[in-house]
Amino acid sequence: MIFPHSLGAWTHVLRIWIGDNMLADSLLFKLFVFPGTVFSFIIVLFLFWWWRKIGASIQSRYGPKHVGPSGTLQTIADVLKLITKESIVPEMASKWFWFMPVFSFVLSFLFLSLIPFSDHWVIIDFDASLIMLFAVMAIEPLFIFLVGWASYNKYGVAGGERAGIQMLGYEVFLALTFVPVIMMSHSWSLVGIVYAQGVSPTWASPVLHTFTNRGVWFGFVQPLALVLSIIAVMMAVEKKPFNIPHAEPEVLYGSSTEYGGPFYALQMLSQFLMGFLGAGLITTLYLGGWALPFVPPAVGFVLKTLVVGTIIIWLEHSLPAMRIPHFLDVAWRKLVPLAFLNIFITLIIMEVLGWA
Amino acid sequence: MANFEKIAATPETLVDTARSLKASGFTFLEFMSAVDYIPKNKVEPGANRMDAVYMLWNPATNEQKMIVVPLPRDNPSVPTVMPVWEGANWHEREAHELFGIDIKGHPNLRHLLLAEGWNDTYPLRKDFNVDDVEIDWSAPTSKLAEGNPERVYHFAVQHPGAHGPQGFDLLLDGNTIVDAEARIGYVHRTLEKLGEQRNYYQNILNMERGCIMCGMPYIDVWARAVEELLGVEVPEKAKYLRLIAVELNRLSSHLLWMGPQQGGDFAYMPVAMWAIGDREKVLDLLEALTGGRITFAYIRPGGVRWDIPEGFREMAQKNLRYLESRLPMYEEMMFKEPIVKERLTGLGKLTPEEAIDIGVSGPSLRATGVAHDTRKDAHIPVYEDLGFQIVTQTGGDGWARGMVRLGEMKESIRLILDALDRLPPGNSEADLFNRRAMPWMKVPTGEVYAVTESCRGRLGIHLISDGTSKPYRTKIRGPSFSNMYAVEHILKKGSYLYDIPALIGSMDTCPADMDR
Amino acid sequence: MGLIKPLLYTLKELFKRPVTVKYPYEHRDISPRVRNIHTLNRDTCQHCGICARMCPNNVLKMVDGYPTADYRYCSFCGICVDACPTGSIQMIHVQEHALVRANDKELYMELLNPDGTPYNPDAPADVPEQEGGVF
Repeated sequence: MIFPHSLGAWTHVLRIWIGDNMLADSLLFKLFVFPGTVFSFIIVLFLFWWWRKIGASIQSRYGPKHVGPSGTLQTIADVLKLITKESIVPEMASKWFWFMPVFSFVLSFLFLSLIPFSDHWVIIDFDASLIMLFAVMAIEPLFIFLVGWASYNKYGVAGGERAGIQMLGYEVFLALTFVPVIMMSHSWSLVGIVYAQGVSPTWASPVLHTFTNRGVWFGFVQPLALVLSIIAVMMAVEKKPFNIPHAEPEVLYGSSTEYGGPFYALQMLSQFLMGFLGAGLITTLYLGGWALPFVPPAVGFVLKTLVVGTIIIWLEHSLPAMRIPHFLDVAWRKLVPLAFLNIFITLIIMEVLGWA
Repeated sequence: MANFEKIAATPETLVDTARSLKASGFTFLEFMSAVDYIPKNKVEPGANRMDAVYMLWNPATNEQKMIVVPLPRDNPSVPTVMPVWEGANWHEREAHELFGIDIKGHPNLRHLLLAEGWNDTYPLRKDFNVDDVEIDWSAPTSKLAEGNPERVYHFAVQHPGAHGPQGFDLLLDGNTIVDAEARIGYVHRTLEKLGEQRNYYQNILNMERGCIMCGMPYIDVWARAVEELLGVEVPEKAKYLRLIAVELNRLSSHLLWMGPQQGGDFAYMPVAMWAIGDREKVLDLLEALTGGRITFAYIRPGGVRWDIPEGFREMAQKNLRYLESRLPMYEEMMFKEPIVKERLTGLGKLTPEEAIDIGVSGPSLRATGVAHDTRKDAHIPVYEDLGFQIVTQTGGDGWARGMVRLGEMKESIRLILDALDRLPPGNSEADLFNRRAMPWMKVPTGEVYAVTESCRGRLGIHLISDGTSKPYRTKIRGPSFSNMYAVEHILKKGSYLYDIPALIGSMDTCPADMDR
Repeated sequence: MGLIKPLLYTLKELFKRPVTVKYPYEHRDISPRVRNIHTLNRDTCQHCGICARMCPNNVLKMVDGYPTADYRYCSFCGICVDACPTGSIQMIHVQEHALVRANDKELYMELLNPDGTPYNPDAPADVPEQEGGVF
């Protein structure tokens, strides 16, 4: 990008950032309000409460009850409490100790930028955004490891190592579950994939998306792929039963053992944000993105994501954690062949439906 | 139960006597301890020696024999019997640190229950003065930590996977355990010394705290030991009530095991919470019967405190039938679920010979296929009349242990309901206590070893009385002491970090009765 | 598969009523045998001191002929009740009598009356007043 060299150039750049007529067109608004920072905090606050309520109902108890109506403000109370706590830094921790959790939060934010809440409400939109998303998801375990490494704690490093082990398991499987979607939609961009499911564009996008319109949500055509994707996404965002890197009876709290107070709050929020985004990814790929009758596009996206998120939360609370050898065994010996089978089935379905 | 034969030995003949006894069937070493006699004692006035005692059990014939080795009080020493029974390892360490007996040939004579830097004073000796104790707090925590304290992982107390105040010092290579050493003694409350300070009735309080989760078998065995010495026979009704109370406690302990212990290891919260919720129903029954949910003080020498209250039968039917209907669900969620099954199968496999050599008892022993349950072996009253069946499994791994406990739960429910149906009329207590005489109840001189099956294994109390109102020696043989040694033994053979919580949970070790 | 059954169980449980008792808004009935706090019948007490002597933790101390209790060490075992020759000292099951300690001095409390009301309405200075009776 050329540095703005004149007043005219500066004005041009500022116009793009702040926007001409509609505030809602501006990049700043999208970054910071919706679907950016403010919205992500709100949705995380909601999701944390929802996670606790469903978990509690499954376990025959009530969950948060007293703070706010039916406990909805409990998350705010917890976050405020955590922020006001003293943050204890180990003596020998590296000088990057402070930065690491921030980096991983930024990474989840990058993930957020790629997910289309609608074809207008998306921060980064170009014709290969699925590839970039995959790359972002692949870097994440590295940051988990660095978080553990920076804390100079045996259990932190052990937890970080386990993030690497988990990545060995799910990476290939995750990539393979994306393939049928790409095959069916003929598009590498997330917005294009949504268009390919029969959703009509809500505005004239400056980016040219290549896609082939199939007219039906992919989840109905390929339920097996939907199930496998849910499993893959649960592995990627480390939800039980695949929560090997963190929060298990074995490695205290995994890579973030030494991070207390505000950092713990940041990591909790980033974890739930990733959960939301994982569900959002599934909605985009299989459930028609933002299209829902009678509601505006972005609201439709959020509602559908919350439904998928609820299913993931239910699965998470109902299953125990897996051992590492069992996990690797299942991932490579059972799930990767299933993913290949899935691709094969997709080919057959495409042939049958005439979607060559 | 009580009568055992004493066999004298000297330090030189000890190992040979032990070997010949083991060859003749006494394959189970219950405990090794000592009795300290100073001249002014009332059991044998004038005696001035320390007896090292080894209590043995013959599983086949249910005989008990005790090897007694008289030793001088200054510099007592015996050779180790670890070549004969491996389980003697920790018993000898405990005798060394509490009595000062030097064990020749022992591989690791560090402090087990006391702090690592404890000086050379020996608490269980009769002439011990607590002002002489000094502790060096900079001593290394374990043998592994002596050379390189930084490399050692402390998988202990603060770690949520260690299930309480117990744990291990580990040397890890990635996720593989290279070496492990157990660290226990965090809740050593000197129950044995306290037993000597309190009289026979107050000791109910003491003994009950031997294990928090299953205190009832402790006071049951204490009461039977004292009754044996007094020569008192309890009425039939009291025997039935004791059975009901002990089995209720066993149910609550196994439910607690299944929920948070075994389920919590896998972060399997639904099962953990449902088990706790169902356990509340059992605790409601215990509260109605005894007045307490965790500590009961219900069984006392002579009988039990109260008869069953009104409405107890109906309440028991309702609660226990509900619990019975939930057990198949727990079986499906815990033991047939593929993830849990994969984690439990092959976990900490023990062979029957290994288990008996170490001194493992309880469900962990029965999971290896050995059909020994103290309730049947020691002919504890009423169990046989109700047709008690021993639950066993083959396999010796975590899954088998879990299935044994599940089977025991079903058996307990059946026993309680049958006992309630067949409850005989009569008094709930022998006509023993004139209230005014109770504090000064003197028990004639004698020695008895009473055993029972606590929720975790074979529990025994070796009681020596000296004719006064306070006991002379109360030695508690806690089942988890040997079970935890089995865990260390398994870890030393080679295991993984992610298996440790499940292993500790599946052996169901209770720190309270390890450390006493 | 064995994986589906647990999911169905949790799904079923999701819609059932929780088992939690919403204390302190709801109360659970407890058995009358529960040993929550002592009461003393001052008319029948013989001042023999057996209860104090039998207490394993030395909780009871005889003051002016009547036992007083230091509840910091009481383990609620009921041995004092068993030992009393006249049955004057009893334990009742009423709950919610949390005692506030103002300092670390030895704190011996007067035992309650048999109906659960406090004995001494002019409580000593370092024992905060209890709201009349227990509920």
